[in-house]
Amino acid sequence: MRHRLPPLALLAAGAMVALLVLLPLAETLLRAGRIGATGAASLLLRPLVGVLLYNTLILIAAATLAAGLLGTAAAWCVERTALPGRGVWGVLAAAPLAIPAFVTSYAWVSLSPGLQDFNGALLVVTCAYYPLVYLPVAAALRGLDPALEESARVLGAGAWGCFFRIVLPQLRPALLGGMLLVALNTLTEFGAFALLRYRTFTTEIYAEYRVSFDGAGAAVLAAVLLLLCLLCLLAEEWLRGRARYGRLGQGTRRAARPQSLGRGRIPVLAAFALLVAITLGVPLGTLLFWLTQHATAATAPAGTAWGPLLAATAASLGLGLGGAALTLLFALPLGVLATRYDGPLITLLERCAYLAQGVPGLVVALALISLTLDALRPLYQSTALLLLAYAIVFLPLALVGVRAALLQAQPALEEAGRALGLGWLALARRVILPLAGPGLAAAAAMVFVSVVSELTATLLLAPIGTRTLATQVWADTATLAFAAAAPYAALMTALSLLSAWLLARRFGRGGIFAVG
Amino acid sequence: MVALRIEAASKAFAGQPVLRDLDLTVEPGQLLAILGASGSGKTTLLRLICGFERLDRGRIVIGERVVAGPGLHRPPEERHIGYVAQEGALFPHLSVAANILFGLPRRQRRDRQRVEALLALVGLPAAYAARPPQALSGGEQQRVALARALAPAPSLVLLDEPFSALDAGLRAETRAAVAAALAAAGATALLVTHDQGEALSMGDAVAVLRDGRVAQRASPQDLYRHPLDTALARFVGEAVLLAGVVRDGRIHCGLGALAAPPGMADGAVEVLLRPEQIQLLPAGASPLRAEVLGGNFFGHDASVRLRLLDQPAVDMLSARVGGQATPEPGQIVSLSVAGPVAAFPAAAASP
Ligand SMILES: Nc1ncnc2c1ncn2[C@@H]1O[C@H](COP(=O)(O)OP(=O)(O)O)[C@@H](O)[C@H]1O
Ligand SMILES: [Mg+2]
Repeated sequence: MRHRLPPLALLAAGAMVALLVLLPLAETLLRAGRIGATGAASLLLRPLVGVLLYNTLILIAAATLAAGLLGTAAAWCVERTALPGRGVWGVLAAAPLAIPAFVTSYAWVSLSPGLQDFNGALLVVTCAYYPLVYLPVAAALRGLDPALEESARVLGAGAWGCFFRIVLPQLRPALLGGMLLVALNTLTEFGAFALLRYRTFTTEIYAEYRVSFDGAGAAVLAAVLLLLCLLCLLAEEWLRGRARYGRLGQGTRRAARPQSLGRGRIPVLAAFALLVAITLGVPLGTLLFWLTQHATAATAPAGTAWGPLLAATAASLGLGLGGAALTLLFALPLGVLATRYDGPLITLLERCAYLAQGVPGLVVALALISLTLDALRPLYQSTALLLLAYAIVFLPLALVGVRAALLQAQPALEEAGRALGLGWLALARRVILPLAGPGLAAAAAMVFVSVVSELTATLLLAPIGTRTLATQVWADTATLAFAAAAPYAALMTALSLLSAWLLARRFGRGGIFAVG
Repeated sequence: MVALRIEAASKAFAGQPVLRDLDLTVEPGQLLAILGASGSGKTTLLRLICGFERLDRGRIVIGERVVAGPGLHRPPEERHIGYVAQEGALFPHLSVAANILFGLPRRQRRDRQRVEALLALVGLPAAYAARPPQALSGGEQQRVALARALAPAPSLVLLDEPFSALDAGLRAETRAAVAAALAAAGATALLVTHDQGEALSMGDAVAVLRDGRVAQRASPQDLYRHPLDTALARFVGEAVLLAGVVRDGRIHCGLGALAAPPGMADGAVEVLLRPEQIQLLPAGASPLRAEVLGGNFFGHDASVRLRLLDQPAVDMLSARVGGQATPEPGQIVSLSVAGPVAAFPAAAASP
């Protein structure tokens, strides 16, 4: 990376993207600010806010703890023990990320309405998000030099002592980072909790918005939610900056010797089978069950109508493609700036883009609605506005992929091409695209899948009459028409699983990470 | 009593034997260097002693205790061994002090004086105690690793090529510091290396590992001067090997008639000289004349390639000369041989 000035047009494009990301954030805070101190205080000091805060925080505490334990235990068994079928278990442990949380929640709710409380919410959130801990912890375990554990053993530490004194401290950044991601996703999840009738900030904001379009209550709650999310993001950032235990030295190292499970083999295998049955078997099995029910078991309109199904699929695919294209377009200038140039301004722009991770889709959608209602009426309920919301929400996801892809085409290789006499067009075609192309395509694919299974922003911003797979599932399950929702949910889940599988095949197990 | 005894140890990986019926003993207080080519099983041997790997056959006894044998495998934490891995393997999340005290019982882990004493032992300033290991150079990391291994006063310290990752200057310095620390601690140590210079200079005794066995075990001087066969001769240093015949206590070869080692039977032999035994004299100073073909200059010394004139049977020799007086290619010099030479009966010269 060199300290030279980027082209002005590129800088301007990057700055525009960063401003677009800041827009909903600023609008949310400004709208809350306009209410005034006394108004805000009376809105904040409602018992309702206390209930929401309690509901949200207790769920986050329980879910991060459960996901942390489950994810770490699963990762350790898969990476460090002689568990039969480790490779398969590893894939199965990551797979729940490819099932949208509100589909999981639909499955459980349709099984038993008794789950509509804290326990149900904890179950669904843990099932859906524990891979966010599993994946980074497994990666950290793979990166851990077994020589450290051996040194500890020969210095007299037993198996447990070695785990707590050596392994766990090294895993801490990955573990805490994963747990914070679980917390962030729990904060921003809407569909799953709405179906479970578990009241959190997102469900309440949505409810208040439905009651009154421009309610001050929703604005204040949105600001509180936003602050909680940003807090999570800040903690994650702090963690990332702090502990990076680099490996010392750079020689080759031995592969870890898998620990024999001894008599624990059967119980561990049974535990994994149970885990997979709960996290994958129940959602997928329930979907299959409802697919075969001809709208008899629950209140529903007539059986599968192919027309609406095709229309919803087309709408989802169209929005997915459009969303992926626009998001990639937004991410590219920032990616080029971040990988090819250096400087405080560029760092700032990149930080702004990553800030979007802490802005829930619901908050983005509400802010965009209020902005267009105030100033740009024609955009209100337009497809363009929906695509813009997608681009803002999924920019961080795309940026991670774009960065990685552009780093594949290292500047040194570009210079080698230049030295060999290639013009910049030929350079792009013969050097940069072949190197960065697969990564860019992967980034686009990840955004595509995320858009297809996105519910909140779609629900709020989709033009009148536009129905997607996600909104269809939502509409049908909200009226307990589980059988009617099944084809839509199944199609959406199949799309998501398929992409995850393709990405994982192309980019290794970590590929699934970005989906969901 | 011996500090370590290995009896008929065998180990194979996926059917590929690495150690075959290896026997080895280490006396208390001794530093035994194990010299072997890369891939000869040196690390495997140390890992077996530590208990990271399981023996296929044989027995390992540390002090009085059998730690591995038929149906027995004590875990590493019960063997009381100090182990310094190739790259130190310091715990990256712990300070230097915490690394050093890691192996001590919990109550003793706050002992600052102990840390300072151990740091002093390996020649590092006490101020290093609070540093993270990332802030140390490679050589310093190795010294901390040694201090960590010595802290619990183990009966045996194993060092796996501890200097191979260091650059030349650092290597000499770290070697000296490690040797001094081991001596000061009175530790029994097993040092594994593929570098003959290192083995010869550091070991009280040297064992050469070849084909999964100890091919020769001797003092460094004996090993260098009297290797058991020509392959060992070449492995422990540069060798000049000439065909010759022993008759009446003298070896007749391209370099004239030399004194045969005592007790050498008559017959065809292969003669072993070290390059530094061949001395270059001004032309005419001896009847042995040679032409200088070329050389490699190293600074402190130089190696010179020579062709004997009047002796078509010997095609090339190499000699070592001081760095201050290197002859030019094409120059004619005279040769003489200094010191006793070794010889191997021709039939059994090479295994
Ligand atoms: N865990 C293992 N699995 C399979 N082969 C191994 C393993 N460890 C060592 N080997 C093989 O055993 C031989 C000796 O290895 P090693 O003891 O590391 O040699 P050295 O330390 O002398 O270089 C090598 O051929 C190596 O490939
Ligand atoms: Mg080795």
